[in-house]
Parts: sequence; C-alpha cells; structure tokens
Amino acid sequence: MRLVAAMLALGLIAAACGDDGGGTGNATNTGGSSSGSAKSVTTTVVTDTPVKGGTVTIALFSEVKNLDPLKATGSGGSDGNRLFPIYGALVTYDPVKAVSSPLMAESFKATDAGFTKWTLKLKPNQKFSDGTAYDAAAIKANWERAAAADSPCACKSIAQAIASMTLPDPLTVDLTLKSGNATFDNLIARNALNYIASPKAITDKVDLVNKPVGAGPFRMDEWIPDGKMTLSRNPDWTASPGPYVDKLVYVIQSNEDQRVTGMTTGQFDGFYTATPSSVTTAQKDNKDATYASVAVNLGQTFVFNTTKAPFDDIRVRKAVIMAIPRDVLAKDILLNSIPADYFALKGSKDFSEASALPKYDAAGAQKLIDEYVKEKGPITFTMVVFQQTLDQARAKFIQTALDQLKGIKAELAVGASGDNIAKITSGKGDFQWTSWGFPTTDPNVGLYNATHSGQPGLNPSNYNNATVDKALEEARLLGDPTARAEKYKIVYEQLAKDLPFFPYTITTNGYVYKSNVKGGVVYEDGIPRVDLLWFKK
Amino acid sequence: MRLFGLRLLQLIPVLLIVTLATFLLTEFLPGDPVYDILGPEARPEQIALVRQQLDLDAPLPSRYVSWVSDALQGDLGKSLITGRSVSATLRQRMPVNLEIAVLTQLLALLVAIPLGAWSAYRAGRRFDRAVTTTSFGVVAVPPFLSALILVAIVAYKLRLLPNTGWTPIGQGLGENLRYIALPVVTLALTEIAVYSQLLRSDMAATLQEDYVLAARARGLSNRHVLMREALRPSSFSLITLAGVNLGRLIGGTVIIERIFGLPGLGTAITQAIPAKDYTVLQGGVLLLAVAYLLINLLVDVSYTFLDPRIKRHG
Repeated sequence: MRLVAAMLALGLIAAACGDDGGGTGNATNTGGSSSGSAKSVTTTVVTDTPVKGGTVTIALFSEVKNLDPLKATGSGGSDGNRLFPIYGALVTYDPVKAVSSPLMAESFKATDAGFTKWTLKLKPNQKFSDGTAYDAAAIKANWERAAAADSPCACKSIAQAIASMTLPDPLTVDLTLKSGNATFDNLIARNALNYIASPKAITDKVDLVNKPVGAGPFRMDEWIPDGKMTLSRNPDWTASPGPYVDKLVYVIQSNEDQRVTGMTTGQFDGFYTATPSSVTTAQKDNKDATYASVAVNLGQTFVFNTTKAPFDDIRVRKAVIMAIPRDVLAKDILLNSIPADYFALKGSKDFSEASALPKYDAAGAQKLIDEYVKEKGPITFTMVVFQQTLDQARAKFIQTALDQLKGIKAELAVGASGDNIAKITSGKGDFQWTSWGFPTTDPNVGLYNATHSGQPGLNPSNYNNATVDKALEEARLLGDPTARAEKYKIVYEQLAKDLPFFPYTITTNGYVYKSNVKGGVVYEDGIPRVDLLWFKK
Repeated sequence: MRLFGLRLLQLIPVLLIVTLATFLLTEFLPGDPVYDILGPEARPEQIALVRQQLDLDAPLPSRYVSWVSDALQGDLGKSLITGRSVSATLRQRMPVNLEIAVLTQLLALLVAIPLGAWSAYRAGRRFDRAVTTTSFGVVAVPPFLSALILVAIVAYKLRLLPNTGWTPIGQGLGENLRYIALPVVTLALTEIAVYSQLLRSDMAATLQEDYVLAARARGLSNRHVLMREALRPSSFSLITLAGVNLGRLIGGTVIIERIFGLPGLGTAITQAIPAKDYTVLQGGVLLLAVAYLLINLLVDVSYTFLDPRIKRHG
C-alpha cells in the first residue's frame, strides 16, 4: 500500500499542484471545515533569541521555469518560494487576520474614503544586488512593465487597474486606481507586483529568467535546475531582523515519501508539503517537528460551465455533487486530503453554515437526474482533463461515481495544459466540466475573479449572479475586514445555492521543519519567510 | 582504423534519419507551446509575434535545415519556455547521466564477471543454482521498487547514505559519490543479474572447448583458465549488451532521476514533452542518438580486439 502511495505521490507531484497555490498568512494550524488527518501544530511567535549561522536545506516538490517576476505566478506552491528570498516582498498577507503588513514597504495605505488613492512608502537604504537603489522609481518601472500591453504577467489586469503613478519623493509612490479597492494592498501581496526586479537590469535586458537581480534577503549563488538552488545571505537586507542563516539551499525532490525520508535522515531541515499524511509521518519520525502552513479556500474545485447544457441546469449540478463521495476522493485518491464540506473555510470570518455543500446522496441525485431526463433526455457531458496523473485519477473517479446513476454519462477528454487552459478560460464556454484551482487567500482577489460576472478568463464557470456581484463590489470598498467578511458570507451562501462549481478538498500549503529549526512562518498562500529561519543549538 | 572510419561514415545517414524523425514527431505533439510561454490570456497578436520570433510558422523543411546547420556548429537553440541555451542545459545535465551510466556499468561488470565466470565453472552446482535463482529474482524486481527498498534500508534504517540529491564532482568527489551511490547500486542490480547469467551461459559453452581442456591439462590455474583463456571469447554477447545498456542508462533512467532527485537528461526531456519545448526535446534526442551510435561504434570496434579474426576479415 505504501508503494502504491509512493507511486501515486509521483503522480501527485506531476500534477499542477502549484497552480492552486493560494494561501496567505502566517503559520497556522492545518485547518479546514473537516477534521484532517494531520496533527497540527501552531508555530507561535519566537520568544527565543535567534542565532545567526548555518545552512538551512529545504526540499521542494517541483522546479520552477523562471525567476522573472513578470513571468512568475507568485504562488506559494510554485515559484513564490524562490521569488521571496531573491526579491523580498513589498508586503506580506496574513489570511487569518485578513490584512497585509508592509515588509520592504514602510506603509501602503489608502488615502481617500473611496479607496482610489493609495500611497506606498518604502523603507530607506534598500538596494538591489547590482547596486541600484530599491526606490519609488524601481516600483514604478516594474509596475509599468507588468501593465504593458505585451506583458505576459498574470498580474497584468491588476497592474492595469492603476490609472496613474506619481513619485513625490524617492521613496514614495502615489497611485490612483481606476476604481476603488479597499484591499488593493492584499491584491499586490498575492502576485508578481509584490516582487520588484532591478530597473537597471530591466533596462539592460538582463536575463532575469535565469539570472534574477533582486533586493531580497538572499542572493542566488548557483542554480542547477531540477537539482538545487543555493542562496547566500544578503548583507544589505534591512527590511527584517534576519536573515539569520548564512545559506539557504532549495533541493528538488518530487517524490513525497523521499522528502519525508530526507528530513528524517537529516538531509533536509524542512520540506514542502500539501499532504496531511506526510505531515503526520514526518512529525511521528521527527520529534517536535513543526508544520508552518496555511489553509487555502477553494483550493481544489470542480467547475461547471453554467452556460452550456447540461450544467446550465441547477438540478444536474446538484445531482452530480450529491453523487460524488468527496470524502473517499480526498482520502483515497488525494492521499488523505481534507474533504471540503463548505464553500467558506470553517473558522474564518466569512464562514456560515449556509455555505454548506450538498451531502453525498446517490438516491437523491438519481431523483434529480430522473426529473431532468424526463424533460430533456439523457445526459452526456465531457470533462476536460489535464495530462497530469492526478487529474486523470480524479476524473476517472468521477466517471466511476456517476456510472452508478442511470441517465447520465461522463466522457473524459484528456488534453495538453495549454489547450485545456485556453478552452476553459476562453470565455466561449467550450467545455462542460473540469477540475480547477481557485486560490482564495484573499476573497477580494480569488473569489472576485472566480465569481464576478463579465470576467472571461477569470470566471471559468461563466457564473452570473447580481447578488454576488453586488456583494463583491461592496466588499471592495470596505476597509474593515469584519464588514468585508459579512459581504463574502453573502457570496458563499449564494454559491451554495447556485453551485456553479464545487470545492472538494481543503488544501493546506506549508513546510514541515525539524525541531531545531525555528522561526517557521508562511505568508500569502504558503510562501516561507526564510529570512526568519534560524537554528536553535 | 579503416573499419573505424567506415563505421563513422555510416553514422551520418542514421543521425539524419533520427533527427528528422524527432522533428516530425514534435510536429505531431498536440498543443501550441506559445500558450505555455505567454499564458492562457495571450492575445492573438502576441501569439503571432512570438510565433514569428521563434520561427514556428516557417515551413518544416526550412526549419529542419536551419536547425541541423546550427547544430553542426554546436548551437541547439534556446528553450522555448525558459530561454536557456539548450546546449548549456544539456552540458549541465549530461554529466549526471554519464556518471551514473559509467559507474553502473563498472560496478555491474566488476561484480557480474567473476560471478558469471565462477557460476559457469560450477555449472549445475549449488553456487550456480543460488546465483541463477537470485538473478531471476532481482530481474523480476523493477528498478523503482529496488530504489525504494534500498532507500528504506540503507538511507532510512541504517542512515548510511543520503536518499536523494546530487552534488557535482567539482564540489567534492567524496560528496558526489555519496549521493550517487544508491542510484548506481539500484541500476547495477539488474545489470549484474543479467550480465552474470549471460556470461555464465556463454562461458559454460566455452569451457567445453578443447583448447580450454588443453589449458587445464597443462596445469594452468582455474583463475588463469577462466579469466585469460575462457573469458575473452565468451565476452561478445556481454560486450554487445553492455554497449546497448550504456546507451539506455544514459537516457532512460528518468524514474530513477525522479526518485533520487537527480538533475539529469531524462527529466529535462520528459518535462519538455508536455511543455512543447521543441528545442530541448530535439536537442536532447539528438544528444542521446549521438551517444548511442558512438557507443555502438565503440562496441563494434572492440570486437576486433577481442577477436583478431574480425580485424583480419573486417
């Protein structure tokens, strides 16, 4: 069984787990609306005095393609863990408190009641590894680069939401947004705009993909793709008291069991995982090991195309959800993941019982299908499936689950990532069902994009509900997190009525560390604050 | 020398066929690499620009000719996805696979030759039966399973060796060998089993030859008879297989690379396929093809040293 699990882990790693990386905040329990199998340990604020020195080695599950913020995702499960040590971050987002804190910024605040004007002040005396000043001009150059018409940045729409930027002094950027947004700082925290490259390197057309020039807590010494990345402490870093370790080494090991074993045998000081069972095993084998993590809302989700039959009918959507035992899917296919039972994350401010998903009920599902078939005939639909082993395993599970019902049949269309993504995000509705990742560390970002109408490419289900649109727009203009959470509650409750998609697992992104590694904290969707790591002797 | 030159010339049409086949295969890969480069929200004009920059819209024959002429000058282009030089990428990764392949073969032959020779000498007896049974057992276990078992015992239980990772030779031979040990042993296990049985079979027949009996009659030691008289003429199959395996070990160990976290060629090539990174795929396949063909050439040439009759008669 363990060997099967090991092979499944290989498949899991091959899956685009990093696409979903949405999680923000500081180290927290592995939470979720259902009890997970992982023992969770809260990493509290360090009370011991950090000690400088040592090399910390952390195992990651996959390699990244590039280190240019413009082409990166900024996701914790993907390239975020490289961007932060190299580029630092303007702000860091805490999903528990639902606020951003400045890091390389001194402050980032709205200056008008309508949240259209913002002022970003930078900390002084920061510089890039090429000696260029990390100043307001650098921010402007990077954000303009991201907003350019030919920019490939996933952050482009956010950068283009900035109407104008002025620089009243070398460390201040005054922004005017095209429309008010109370959590624009959270938006920045979530993506590549948070990571600033040297403007001189940009002008000189330095190959930032392979030779990044940042102002982060570490500087890259060596990068052997699919092997390891070695970084040394940046002596010019001033944004935080760290970094404490002399060197940070990232090692790539796609096999989950090997990462766990590597920590037990002393090869790694920590490793990335989103698998609760790995956390349990690691903590069993390594006394007092800690897990710095964040739970990601809507991390793994099935998406219905609500503008195309049969999923334009709520009865079919509901029936399908009721027919799929998602606890079995989470436990057996997804290696003891935590099944999702609600749209909202239990324990969060925007949670309510009314955001519950329909329970598993095959008989109830059959009734709904019979009703639909009587009116419109048998149901056949195509599920768009990615080539990753895990996605195919998920899809086959769905197909098998639905085979128990009469009058409904699922066909699988396995395709290459690029083609599938284009199909799903084209907004033309050329698919009926797929698996997707909806990272919603900050609902203002992920939830807005996924559920607000009129957003082809970002709202893959083509969902359109005036109540939801109104609540999302109102939330954007509320500065108080509690008041915003009330609006998101409305959204989640409406989603539970309309079921345009359904989340099936709670994802936790995080890092397990050995007991002698202190300061383990993650921000955003699971990006480790490597500047705060230190060894307790 | 003439034989070597002739064989070398024969490589050229083979290489052309292999490279053309690779080019044609990448054409049949579904999808468009531009989406992987630009992302799913790329606009049509962006896509068109990138396709033009990468010459993806040029006719296949002209792209092929252009690529071959660049390859002859050592330029295999740049990765469509990362922009890294393909030549540099392959140069960085090839040593990993070369080292694994060479060390695996060395270990395998060092163990298999005496094992096979002694089994042949003791054909039908307890030692031979034990080796044969064990060999069949080892061959039945796939390498990924052997890898996991070795990791569990050697790395996890005994803490003797690291279970994953890689250190280049330049950063310390000792460290390099520590990391490479488990992957090499994993791969060598199957090779030892196969080589020892192959040699055992050939040598058992050779040991029945008259000249071997004559050597024994002259009072020569078992060691001399086995290693000096019988081994050489029994080695043809072994060398042929070792040569073929060397090529396979260089490019076909992607699962071992993934299990042990090795930054090898197999990983680069298999990742290039779903990413539609044509240039890396084509460069990688070309490199493997060249390696394979050169190894087979060396195997052919080595026959002349093993059997002078081949040298005389070509």
